[in-house]
Amino acid sequence: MGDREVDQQLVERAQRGDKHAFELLVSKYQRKLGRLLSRFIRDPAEVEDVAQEAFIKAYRALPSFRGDSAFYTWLYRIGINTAKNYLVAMGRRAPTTTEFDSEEAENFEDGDQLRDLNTPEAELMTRQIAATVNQTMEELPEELRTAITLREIEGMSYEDIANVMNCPIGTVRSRIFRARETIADRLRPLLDTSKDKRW
Amino acid sequence: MERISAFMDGELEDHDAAAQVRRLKEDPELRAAWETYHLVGDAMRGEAGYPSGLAARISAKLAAEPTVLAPSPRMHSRNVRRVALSAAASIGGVALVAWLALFDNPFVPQQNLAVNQAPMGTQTQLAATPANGSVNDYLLAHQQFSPSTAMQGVASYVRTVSGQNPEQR
Amino acid sequence: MARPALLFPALFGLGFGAGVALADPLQESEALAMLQKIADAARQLNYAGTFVYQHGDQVQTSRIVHFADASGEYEKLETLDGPRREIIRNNDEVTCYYLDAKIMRSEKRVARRSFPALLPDQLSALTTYYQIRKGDSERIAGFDSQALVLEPRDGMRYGHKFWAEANSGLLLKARMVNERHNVVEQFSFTQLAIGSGISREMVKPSFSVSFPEWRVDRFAHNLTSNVESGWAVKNFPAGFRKIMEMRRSKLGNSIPVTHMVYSDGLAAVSVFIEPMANRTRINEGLSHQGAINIYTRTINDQVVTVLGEAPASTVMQIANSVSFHGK
Repeated sequence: MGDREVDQQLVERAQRGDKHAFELLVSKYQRKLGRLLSRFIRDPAEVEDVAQEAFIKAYRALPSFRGDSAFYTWLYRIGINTAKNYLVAMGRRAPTTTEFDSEEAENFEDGDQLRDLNTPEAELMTRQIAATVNQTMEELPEELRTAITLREIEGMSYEDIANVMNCPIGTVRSRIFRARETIADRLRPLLDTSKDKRW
Repeated sequence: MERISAFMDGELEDHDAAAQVRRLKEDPELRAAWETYHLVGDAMRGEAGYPSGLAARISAKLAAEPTVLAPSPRMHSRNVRRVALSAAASIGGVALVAWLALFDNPFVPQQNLAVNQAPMGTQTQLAATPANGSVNDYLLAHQQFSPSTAMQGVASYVRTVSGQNPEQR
Repeated sequence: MARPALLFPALFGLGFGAGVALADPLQESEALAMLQKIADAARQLNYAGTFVYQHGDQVQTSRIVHFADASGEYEKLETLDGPRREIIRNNDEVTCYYLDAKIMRSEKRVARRSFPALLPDQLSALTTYYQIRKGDSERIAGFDSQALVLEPRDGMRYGHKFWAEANSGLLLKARMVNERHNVVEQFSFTQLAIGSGISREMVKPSFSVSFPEWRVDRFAHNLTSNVESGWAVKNFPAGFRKIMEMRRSKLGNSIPVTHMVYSDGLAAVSVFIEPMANRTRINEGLSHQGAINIYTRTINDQVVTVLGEAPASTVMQIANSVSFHGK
């Protein structure tokens, strides 16, 4: 799928000395990795520390990444190991299982609980972002909303979307872009006030 | 900006994609768009999180890191597309299984079970979900004949709808 | 949706390890009876529950309801995390609803006496290719269960372990492992009610489908089964045999697809062959959807796609030996 090819290209550029390419990957996966780590580490500040360490470790380990697996799969493993080592170093019990069974799945926190662990400001921000995105989605023209839903939720390629929506691929590309830009536009004021600096 | 949108979906030709990476490096506005567009996708999937200084902090740390240089990757970016095994390689069916057996992780995401070098030197890559319209139809059509459906009923169809495009999540 | 539930590697796939005394293999008739009981329970009982499906580092929680009465069999599968999807079965027809995207895909199954029965003559060969034995009893979702282990005798198929509810035989948990005893996929009920409190209402879709809001994708619009398509698989793995061959066409598309199914009684592999002109994007090579391996290749102007819950090498071997011997 297209996603994997993007990651592969960015990884290869990073392996050839382009740090910015790696930063793009950080930008893409920071939230996902954060969610993963917060299943083991409660304190959001610590989650950030461990996430940072995991990304740096991943950067240093880049020469050994050969594309056998997807980049995120590899990053995910580094994340798990970093979290585990962190917990052990802190003297906390690292969760252990010798065999997966259904009970384990229930012990994992539902993603929604993540909000309770944030600072009030961060939690408010998360809610505002979600609300803004939802609101904007509802106001989008139907074909833009469908296109971006098929892409982001259903993970379909432009070609498959073109088939389903019965339109040229170029139209799909433009619809997805316009949907993204519209939502991004509404988000920008929110993000500007929260970020001290852009990178 | 539209190119960045297409690029992040992996829908640009290789040469075009390479150009985008360069543009992203040079233009902060484009980088901000990359970040925001990904936030949009995450928010749609209920993973909004919150903007932390994480990316910026990592950026700063990276600047201090010695630049990593890897030897030329075994796979050129051109070859990220999957390459079919040659007919000769198919005789090495047993060798293939033996190769897979070298990956010693007990519970391994299937993406890791990649064949990096098939016998005869051709390359095959186990990619993530196909997300191809026809293949989805095939998966659905196949499931009715699977003995697992006889034993579990429609519950076995969870295979066809689970984890599609796992990297999105 | 991708909740990585497994933190540390599983040490045992099927539950074998050094020091575990291996039980005597089951008599073939007893093994077949257990499997048939599982299949009968799935068809005949009314039940509703929540289960967890796991493959690789993905965990998917879903709800399943099964209801059967004189008028037929009805089922509903509903994903509880990630993208909202529902699969509704109404006797012969299975429809998959992608709620967020408002797409529905439906599939009419080939009319048969019962929704896929385990084929008795398939099962009789089972012990040739699998060593079958009982496993320990376990409590799952509040029920006592009996385990059945099927260990493959070669690398062309996956190993299976089934836990069936002690009384009714309903499948409570199932696990598929590869040659290295890595768990490829696992299905397990976490909550289950059998028999009472299940109604027809519970198997209806949770939403209303109003066209033209919804896009419909119908495969197998015209089904012709038991055809001689002229295609054959020259070299399929031992124990597999062809159980179905048919032609099917997509709504709005007149060129039919040839669909053949090979099975060893426990695993099935489908072979789809269609003209390249039918497909706009062909991803050749190996990929997968969960535990299902998929291999695509082209022969002249035809695309061959082979997929099934079998190791990649099996899927590839079948694909690479597909040939046309004319009509």
